[in-house]
Amino acid sequence: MTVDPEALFAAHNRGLFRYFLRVAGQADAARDLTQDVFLRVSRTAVPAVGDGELKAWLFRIARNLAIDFHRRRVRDRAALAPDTARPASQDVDAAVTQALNELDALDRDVFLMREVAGLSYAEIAAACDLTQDAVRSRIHRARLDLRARLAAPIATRRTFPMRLSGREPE
Amino acid sequence: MHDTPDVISAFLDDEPFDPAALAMALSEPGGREALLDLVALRHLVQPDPAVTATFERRRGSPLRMLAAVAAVLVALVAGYAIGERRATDATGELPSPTRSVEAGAWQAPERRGP
Repeated sequence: MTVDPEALFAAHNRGLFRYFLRVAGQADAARDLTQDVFLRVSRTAVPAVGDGELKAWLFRIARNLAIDFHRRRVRDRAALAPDTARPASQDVDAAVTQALNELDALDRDVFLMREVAGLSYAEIAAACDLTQDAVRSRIHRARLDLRARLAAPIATRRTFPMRLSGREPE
Repeated sequence: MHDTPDVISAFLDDEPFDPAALAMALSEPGGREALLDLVALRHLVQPDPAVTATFERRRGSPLRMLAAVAAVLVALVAGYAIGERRATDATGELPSPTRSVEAGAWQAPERRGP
């Protein structure tokens, strides 16, 4: 089975960008990381597997890039501004990013793969070397942690109409 | 709060779940509150649609970008080669850089004296 890199990019770049956007908190970094995934793919033999496994394979690469990104960010912050802890922003988006960054890294990644990139438990399990039960458990734990950390914005959001999908009307 | 069963997450994620367990979880006020909070949380964590729309508009395949860069390089090299060739061809038609001019009578030095 031959995989067309262009088709692979077209099918998955949106989900990867959304995942990186929450991981990095910056659109430019998310765009660069998304392109890094496909540059890596272009230098690698794409496994001859089904769509779901291919998606999991892409997100495994993405997760490795996200881990590297966080390491670099921690190192750069330590080098550049060791004592400049900023107060938590009142902005909801910044509060969400901060709450996500305070989660266990694996919990955060499985949560984001599900919640913003739309992977199934089976795909996340393949991407992160976990069982599906472990994925469900970690996602739920991340949700409950975030629920506690973001109680005020959640209460506010509940005063508006919601959709089960979480997507706002176009 | 942390004893909220993960069947609620399975339900939210469209994964297989035990209906009896979900019914049990949602029979408690805490379970129903958790369900609504987790849907609200799902809304909160979605990336800003304006940012994702910008990505959609600006996106281009890295392979396509590499092809574009290659095309620009080929155009530059071809342009240089054509320019070089034209310059060589044109050199043959140019007049000789040195021209001999015969002095006219009016340019003859005036003779004075005997």
